[in-house]
Amino acid sequence: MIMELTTLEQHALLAIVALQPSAYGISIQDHIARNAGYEPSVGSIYASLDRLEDKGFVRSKQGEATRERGGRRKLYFSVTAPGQRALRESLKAMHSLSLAAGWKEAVA
Amino acid sequence: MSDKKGSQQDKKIVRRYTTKEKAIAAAKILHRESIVEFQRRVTMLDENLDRAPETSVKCSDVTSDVVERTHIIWSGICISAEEAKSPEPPQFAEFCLSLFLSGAKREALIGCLSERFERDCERYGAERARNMYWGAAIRSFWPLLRRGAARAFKWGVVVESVRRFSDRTREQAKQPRLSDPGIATADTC
Repeated sequence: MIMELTTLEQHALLAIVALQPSAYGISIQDHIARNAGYEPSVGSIYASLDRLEDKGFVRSKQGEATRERGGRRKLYFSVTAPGQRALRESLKAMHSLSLAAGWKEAVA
Repeated sequence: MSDKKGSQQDKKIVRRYTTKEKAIAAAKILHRESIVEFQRRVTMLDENLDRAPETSVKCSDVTSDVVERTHIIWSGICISAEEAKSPEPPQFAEFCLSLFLSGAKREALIGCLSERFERDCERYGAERARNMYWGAAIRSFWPLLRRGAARAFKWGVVVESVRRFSDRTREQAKQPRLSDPGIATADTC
């Protein structure tokens, strides 16, 4: 199984974990903007989530339709066990690389 | 002098009637949710003008006092029409975005953009929110297009593999087998 994750995929997975069980497009975007300091477009978030779902790292479930969404239903995302494993591996790799580069203090 | 002033006022009234008719037309379109409230306002307006509803009024029928009161009510209609108006996000941008995803994800993506649009409308006003919607849509095009292309490519590869496999199977089926009785091998000769 392909375990590599792009930065946005990593951020999206972390946002889903943090926001569970109410992680959907806008809340994920807001979470990333608040914590990572940049605002990805809704399209790029959905493209990443679509890719992650294809890989089997996230699962989606349709939610309720609201008036402010023009009667359209939300799509809630949750991280699957392989997704958690991939995220852990990816973060571990990042940590190892930063340690190898002597960035222990900078990361801490 | 007073006649001249009066005629100027009449012109103003005519102008205001025009505005009022426009306001009613706008309110009729926009007041979808509370049409009863709108009808009540129009009746009140007509009562203030001392006229039967929906009839044309001559300038001479209207006193300046009525004009003043009417103007207030007109403003009320305009404001309430504006309030009742729920601005809609740009339809063309929605359509363009809907081309890239399918099913539940398409619904969710458009819903998310509508939710943001609604929030932006409250914060910045409809015009700016519409521009921001376009901005978000344009920023979303490229990642979605890339994703769509990747998906199409993946399916293209699958379709191509299936086609090649079926071609090869057909060719193999056409080729005569060595074990067939009608074929002479070097040993038998």
